[in-house]
Amino acid sequence: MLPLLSPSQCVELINQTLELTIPIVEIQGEIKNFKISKNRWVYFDIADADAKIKCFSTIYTMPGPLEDGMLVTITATPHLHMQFGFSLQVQSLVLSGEGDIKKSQELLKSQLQAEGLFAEDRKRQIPYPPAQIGLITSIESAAYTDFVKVLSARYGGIGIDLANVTVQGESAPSQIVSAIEWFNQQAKSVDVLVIIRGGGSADDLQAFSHEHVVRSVAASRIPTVVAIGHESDISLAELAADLRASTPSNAAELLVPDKKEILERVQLQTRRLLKNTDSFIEHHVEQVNERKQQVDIGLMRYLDRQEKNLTSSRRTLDALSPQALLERGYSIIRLQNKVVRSKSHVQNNDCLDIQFVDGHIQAKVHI
Amino acid sequence: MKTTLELQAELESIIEWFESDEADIDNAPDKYKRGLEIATEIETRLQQTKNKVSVIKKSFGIK
Repeated sequence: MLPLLSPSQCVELINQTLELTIPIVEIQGEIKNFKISKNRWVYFDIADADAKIKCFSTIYTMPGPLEDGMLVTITATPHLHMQFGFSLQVQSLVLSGEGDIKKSQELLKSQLQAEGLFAEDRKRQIPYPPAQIGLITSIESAAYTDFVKVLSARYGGIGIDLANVTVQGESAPSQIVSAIEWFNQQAKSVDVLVIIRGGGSADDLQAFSHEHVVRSVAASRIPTVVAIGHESDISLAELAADLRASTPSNAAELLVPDKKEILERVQLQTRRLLKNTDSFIEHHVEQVNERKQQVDIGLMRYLDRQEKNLTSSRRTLDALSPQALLERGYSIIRLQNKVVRSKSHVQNNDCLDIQFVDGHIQAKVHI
Repeated sequence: MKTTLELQAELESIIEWFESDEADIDNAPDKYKRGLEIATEIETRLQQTKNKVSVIKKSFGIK
């Protein structure tokens, strides 16, 4: 005989059975009757042509804006509510239709753009080159190998702290967000956060357009570089980053200079230094020689001038000498070896000495 | 310690000093010597220094 149960006991029994037999389910279906309550609770039906199941979740579980008609894959716990009946409590939700992924991304993009998350004036300068990089990617990915390889080929002396995360699948967004937050919480901060993964389908790249990841990139206090896939796949995280690179290799190229180019430049600079030093010394030697010549010329001119002055003075002096006067016909009269300058200095019968150019005579004064 | 790019900028300024009116014969030997030292330092750094990857031990899968 079956036990008689109250409705509450029945609900409890069904929930216990569900927990034991189907604790979690993964379902792919279309969203119907999507609505958000109090900006926090999310209600929708997941449906196909024949069935629909009520789903319940929080807005924080959603990858971004959703709409009726979108194809999604949910991981959920079946549960029978005491009041509201059967529903699936959604643990995770990913978009499954390629068109829907794009549509959801477009909706999120418009919303975040309106909030200013992609504005150019928010972009910060990335330290060039950074001394310490916080790298967020999967250690097993080609993106990681390419990034490290290109970085090492171009530049040395950089520390890379790798946060090994999964870069696709339902846990990727929470792991990436957790890594971004971890780096931002460290006392010793890295110079830049680099978030990379290789190309893939729109489904593979969903994590990088997940609202939480995009907001986390935009909110990072450490400048961010995001490089996802190839040129054609632009994720929203790339738009929110301070710097976007087309590929992981391109991210490495943008972050550091090429040491080959630096070495070539340093060699060129060394040659310029040698040439400049030679020219400088040559210029100074020329200047010294020029000055020396100028000094030589100046000295010659000075001596020449002095010689001319001397000749002229000698002529003047010669013209004024007593000898020159005697030669011109003048005589010098002396009385007792003193030159007689006036007739009042002589008296009658004084014996005077008269000097001519060619000799002396004695003469007696008759007044 | 100056970064490689800062050293490169210093080397460039020394070269420009020789081309400028500020250049004087008293300081030229020291400037020249410093320029060559910088060039050697940059070459050594770029040719010998490697990057170092450290994997963070924390598991980001656990919330």
